[in-house]
Amino acid sequence: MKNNERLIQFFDIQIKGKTTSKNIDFDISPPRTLEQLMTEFITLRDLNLARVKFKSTSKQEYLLADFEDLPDCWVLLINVVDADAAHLVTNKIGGSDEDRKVISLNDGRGLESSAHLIIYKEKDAFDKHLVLFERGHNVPFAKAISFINELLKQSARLSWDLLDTYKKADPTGELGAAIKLYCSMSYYAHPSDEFFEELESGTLTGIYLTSDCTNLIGYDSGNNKNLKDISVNVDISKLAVTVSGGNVKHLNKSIKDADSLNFPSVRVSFKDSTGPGHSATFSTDTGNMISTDKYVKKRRIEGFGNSLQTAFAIINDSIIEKMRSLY
Amino acid sequence: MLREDSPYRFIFYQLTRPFSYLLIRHDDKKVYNWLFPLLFTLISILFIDCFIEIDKVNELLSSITDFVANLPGFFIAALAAVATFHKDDIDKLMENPPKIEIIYEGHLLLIEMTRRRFLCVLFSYLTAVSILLVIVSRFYFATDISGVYSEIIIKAGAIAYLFVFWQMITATVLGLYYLGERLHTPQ
Repeated sequence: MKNNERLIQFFDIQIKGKTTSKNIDFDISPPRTLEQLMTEFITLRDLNLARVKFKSTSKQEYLLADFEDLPDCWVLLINVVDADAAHLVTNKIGGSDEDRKVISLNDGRGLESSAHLIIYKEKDAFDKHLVLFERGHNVPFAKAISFINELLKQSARLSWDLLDTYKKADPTGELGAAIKLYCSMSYYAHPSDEFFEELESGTLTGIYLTSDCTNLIGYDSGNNKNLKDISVNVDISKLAVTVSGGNVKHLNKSIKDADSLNFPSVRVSFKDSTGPGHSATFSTDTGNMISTDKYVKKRRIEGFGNSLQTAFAIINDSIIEKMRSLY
Repeated sequence: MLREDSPYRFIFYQLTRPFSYLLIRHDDKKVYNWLFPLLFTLISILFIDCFIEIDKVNELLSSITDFVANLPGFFIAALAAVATFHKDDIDKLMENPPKIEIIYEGHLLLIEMTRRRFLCVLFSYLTAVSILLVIVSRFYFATDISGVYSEIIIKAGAIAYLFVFWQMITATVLGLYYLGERLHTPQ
């Protein structure tokens, strides 16, 4: 990563409700709005609880380092300290062994990296918020979302015993029974132009309309644990693709079909013109890719005058200003 | 598939819910819903065959319908009482609970039933089936049935009528047991 430029990725996020109840394995309405959740993040940060290790033995710690509430968006600065990273070595250009310096890391001190994340407050017609993410070396978007989801769970856990905010009456109607809720953030990548170019020039190997089993009549999550999802095969014969007007148009047609049949996603797989296979899953409402940071639309921001570090303690205003100028 | 975001399917779901009693999942349900009504229907048909002339069958069914016509009001009253009955026990899950599929948050969810839900579903069914039985049978009796197949039509009509009637009576007796005794006995 150069010290005068950053790569910005485009995503949508959606807040969903989940429950710890074993019988309910589908998403439910979220118990809190994004605005309320952001307020809870501030509280977690004030209590020094906005830190996450994904495993107790992990040598990586994620931290919500800074937070800002702007009129049209929220800005989060996510830092990760990686004690597993290789020791850093610096040297002068044209330097000798004597000029080499090693910055040794240990279990208590690791390499720190930052990523800025902007969540726009305005929602689209499908209840999704636009997110701009600063792609860093050590903080991929999937990890950043996992970190946020851990914070969301943490926030809910703190409330379960004290408040009813994250509880809801049990669907059986049993007296005094309640289900515990928490929020979860799912994400959708804006597909890049390169992806569609590769798809158009490649060879389709499969298109499937997909859905989970909860919409299947007679499905019982308790008894049918071995059933995973429903998948409907789309005709990808040369004739069908030609009639649609090419691979991309055929995919778009399948997405429209899936939407009209209440299938939430479409999975496409293809081989590009050089041979390797690719696959992606599209959401049928917005046409964005589900839970991936591959093939995501990216834009470069630059002109920082060689001033950028790998990590920041507080939000870097010039990065945020340039990120916001992209939207 | 049945989702809240497909409006016609959801309307269909709402309008057919009074009959969801027949979809309750429990080992004993086939006895109450199908075996007993079938047995009583067979006995009734044998009785009709032996002791009642074919011309009088519809007369008998019509007089039964006069009796059934009085029931919806009582069933609705029972439904209202059960829905508002104040007792902690009624809102606990039943022992060896029957299960029913409901729409929850736009998805079908199989849940265990509390006594209140079971009784509400039961009396909803009884109300709906008694109303339908009266209306359909009034149309049936007003139809002029004559010709070569009249005897077959009358017998088939009697079998269908008596089966639904006995199904309703069996469910009524089950409801009376719950309201009369089980509700007042701690689990």
